[in-house]
Amino acid sequence: MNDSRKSNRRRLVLSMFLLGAVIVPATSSARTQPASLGRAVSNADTGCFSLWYSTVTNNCGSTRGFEMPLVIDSGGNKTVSVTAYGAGPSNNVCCTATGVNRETTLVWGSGAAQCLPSFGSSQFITMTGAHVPGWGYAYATCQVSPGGRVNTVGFNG
Amino acid sequence: MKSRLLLFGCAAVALVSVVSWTLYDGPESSPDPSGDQMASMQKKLQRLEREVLSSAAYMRHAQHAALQAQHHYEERAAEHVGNAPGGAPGQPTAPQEPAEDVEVADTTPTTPTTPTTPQGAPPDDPDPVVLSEQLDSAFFDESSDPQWTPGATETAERLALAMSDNADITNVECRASLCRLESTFSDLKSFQESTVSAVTDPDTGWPGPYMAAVVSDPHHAGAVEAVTYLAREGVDLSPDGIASAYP
Repeated sequence: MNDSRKSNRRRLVLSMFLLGAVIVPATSSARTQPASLGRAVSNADTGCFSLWYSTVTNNCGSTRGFEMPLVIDSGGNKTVSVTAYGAGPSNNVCCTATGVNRETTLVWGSGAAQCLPSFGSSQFITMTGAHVPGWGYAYATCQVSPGGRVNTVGFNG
Repeated sequence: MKSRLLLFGCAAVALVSVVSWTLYDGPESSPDPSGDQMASMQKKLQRLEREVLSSAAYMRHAQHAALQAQHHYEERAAEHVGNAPGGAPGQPTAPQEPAEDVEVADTTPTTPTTPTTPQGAPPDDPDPVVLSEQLDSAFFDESSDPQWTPGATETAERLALAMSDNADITNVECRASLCRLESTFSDLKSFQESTVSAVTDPDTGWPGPYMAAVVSDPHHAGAVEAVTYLAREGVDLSPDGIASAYP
């Protein structure tokens, strides 16, 4: 009798574990990428960006563009959140998110660039409005002031 | 084929003219129309505007379909010429004259051609012209919102000015939740660069979501016609969002 109860309990625990292992990843497909996956918008600015723990800092004396591809698993509306840091207003980071069809004839975007809400600690810049159609792609672009740093970009994959 | 397209274009323009002429009642005889007359005139004007824009959208859609058909026909013709049996091995074949009324496709890559999926399945990309028509229909059904429209118009006009270095802006208009900006660019690259850089500018950009669509045939070299929709914050401009918000 006891053995049967134990066996049932084990089956229950195993089922719960398998259910969690299958369902949780399927329902929450959030993805975070380090900023080091991106690149300078202009080739000439490549030397401006340096890496530190895979975060990216602008070491040049003026604002430079930095673009990060978003590796998309399925189409849909994307909420994109860039984590960035600026010590003060002169080290600001302002970002946009854009979704495009693969023929580049349709563009959905979050609109005017949104900047860091405060300075002195890592902050989130959250953007909505980027839509990715089937077989389309998406990216986040940041204007990084001198000393500004982009840590990661997260989105619903 | 080009003469057919020209003929079709002329016919469509004639259709628009006839519709406009039919709906236009001529100048009012009364020198000082009453409020009712003014309201009636405004309604007529709005109906006329919808008819003309709807005809223009229909023309654009038909032209797009005709150009796609022509493109397909040219590709088939080029394939046929490429597969034609040559002479005996080792003997040069005489250059073949293309058949009359068959234009050999220009093979210069101007824009990416429609790719097939890695699995070979048919692509299911949304059609920019169809999406644009859906939004046009929603836009022209809207009235204006005194709280939002004036400020939005000012921002949209400022944005159009920023784009005007690289584009010919033909129309800017805002209603209750959307602004519509019609423009012509010299090529597809110019459309992509100018639109994104103007709309995303942190100081002068659009403070909300936007969608930009190329409504002319992107496979043909030359000028690119585009429509950009600038939405009020919270509006979902995705195909599903458009379908549910503007059924």
